[in-house]
Amino acid sequence: MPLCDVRNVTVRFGGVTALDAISMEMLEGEFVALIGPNGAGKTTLFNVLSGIQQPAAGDIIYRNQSINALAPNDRARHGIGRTFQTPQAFSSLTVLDNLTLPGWLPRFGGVFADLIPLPGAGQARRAARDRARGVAAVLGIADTLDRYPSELPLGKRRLIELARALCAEPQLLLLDEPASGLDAEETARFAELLLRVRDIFKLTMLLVEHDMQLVLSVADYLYVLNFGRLLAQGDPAMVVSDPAVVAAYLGGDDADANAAPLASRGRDAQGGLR
Amino acid sequence: MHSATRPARAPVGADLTRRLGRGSAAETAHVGSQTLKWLLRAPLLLALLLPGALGAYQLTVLTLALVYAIALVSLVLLTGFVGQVSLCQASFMGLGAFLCAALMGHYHLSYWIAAPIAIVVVFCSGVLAGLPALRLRGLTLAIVTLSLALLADNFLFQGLDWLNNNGNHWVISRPSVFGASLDHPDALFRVIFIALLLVMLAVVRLREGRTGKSWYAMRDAEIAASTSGVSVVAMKLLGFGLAAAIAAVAGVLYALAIGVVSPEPFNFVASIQLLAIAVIAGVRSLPGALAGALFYIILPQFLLQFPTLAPLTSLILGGGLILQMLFAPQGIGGILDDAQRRLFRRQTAPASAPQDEEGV
Repeated sequence: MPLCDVRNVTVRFGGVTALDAISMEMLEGEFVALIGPNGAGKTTLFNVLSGIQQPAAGDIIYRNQSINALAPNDRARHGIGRTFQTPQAFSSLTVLDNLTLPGWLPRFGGVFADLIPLPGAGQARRAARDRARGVAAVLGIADTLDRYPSELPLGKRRLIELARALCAEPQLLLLDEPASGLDAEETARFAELLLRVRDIFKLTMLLVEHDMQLVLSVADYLYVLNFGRLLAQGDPAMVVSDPAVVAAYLGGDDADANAAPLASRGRDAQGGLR
Repeated sequence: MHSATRPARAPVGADLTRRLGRGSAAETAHVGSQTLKWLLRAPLLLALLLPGALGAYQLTVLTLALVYAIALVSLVLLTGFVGQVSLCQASFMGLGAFLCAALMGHYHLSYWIAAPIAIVVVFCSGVLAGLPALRLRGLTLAIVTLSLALLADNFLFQGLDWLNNNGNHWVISRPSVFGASLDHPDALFRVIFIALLLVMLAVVRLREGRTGKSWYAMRDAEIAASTSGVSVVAMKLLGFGLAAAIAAVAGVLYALAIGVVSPEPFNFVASIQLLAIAVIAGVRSLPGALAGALFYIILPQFLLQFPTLAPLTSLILGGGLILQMLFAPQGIGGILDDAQRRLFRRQTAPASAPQDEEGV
């Protein structure tokens, strides 16, 4: 029984079909990766999953229910969290407030709760802050909690982005290129961190990533997207040696950056990776 | 009460003073509440003594300035906190004033019953006026709100007989508070001053609470806020509703202060001027709203003494906008906060030292 089931999802932008009847499954506790050249539709699929983009056709089934009609904030409430390719920090809030927000949201009547502090009103905020501090400790960013995101380097901002998603207590976490801009050594450490995070927070993960080193070291299952279509799927090591996948990476206009590691992966089982 | 000198461990005060001590220049909004506490202490006494020291005319002008400060607070909330533009805030102010006057005139309600009803109705109309903001933003939204201002002026304030007393002005008979008739300028000043303080305190509490944090998140990164669980629809409509309600508070107090309700002060030009003043004053700063209102009301009164200069009000507003863009991007409120940060730096320096407080 998959946690999340994407059924024949199609998205069109004008005449362009960004996603063409895509079907994929994420099993509970599984680490799924999604690769493909730029413009393959990876981020579009994330937007469909998180409710920012409505599909022209198809269904998103989450825990056996269609969530097509749910707004992004309702999907967050049901346990679908995501990060963004470019970190989207709340720049006028401290890092602590950034991380506290998902656990301390306005509810119905929230205005009155803010205006008239009742006994025990601080409880929810304290709980959310405690979680924020705990998550920050796991990700090693506890020293940034007092700062504003704009004061921090990109690497830290990516971790804050991840931490904020974790603070919403997701079950399914969508990571959109969380490691871009990291060097090989940082990427290796980041892979370890992702696996640790998955175990600590008991997550099902869907990772979009260009870095094959990272994908191969964490993913249990791999989907390859090309021009809005599923090109291949299966065990990561098997899939990347699939000639069709190699050709897609070599053939695309903007595939050069990605082609080298993947192509060498195809020829040489271990050696040629970055 | 002296939060600036509190020990670092004190929960909320320490948080604020620490921010203050670090002085992140971009974040005037957090710092503003410190200014507000500071504003609350000394000037509260001053305000209670002030009526005796000023003549009736000066006091009336100052009272009107306080009314407009409340109207500007509504824009600080909507534009500064929620991040939405409105060119119809004077219309909500007018709707509040006219509804209050009409309820009093038609049904002989007491002011203290008519005014809250008017405020609640304007809250609802503010929520409705916020609906376009769910789809539009920026310039398009500004134009839609401007057209709402024109509609309100032409079809409600000038066109609806029930609302505008068949084209005649409404005259408000001022009530009494604790035996003191509000016909007396001193009592009127104090009531409106207290109303301003209550509105500002309420807005500060919202800002520091979950409502305000969600608004900030939405303003900074709307999509990320929504995927973090913030209901963009609810928070935007709430922002428009509350901003309209605060403008309506200014409206019903305007009716009280001036004693006459007529369409002219609430036309679309007034709405544009309000937004211009809010921007000059610093659209994220509550103390800036007060400074802006004093400037907005007292400047024309001052110019009245020189009849040849009187038509220059708009020109001075425009010039002020240009100067503000060039020299004070955070507006008057930003300048106030800077000054106050320097003033309090010595006291807050020790509080900014402990960095390990957040350690897990």
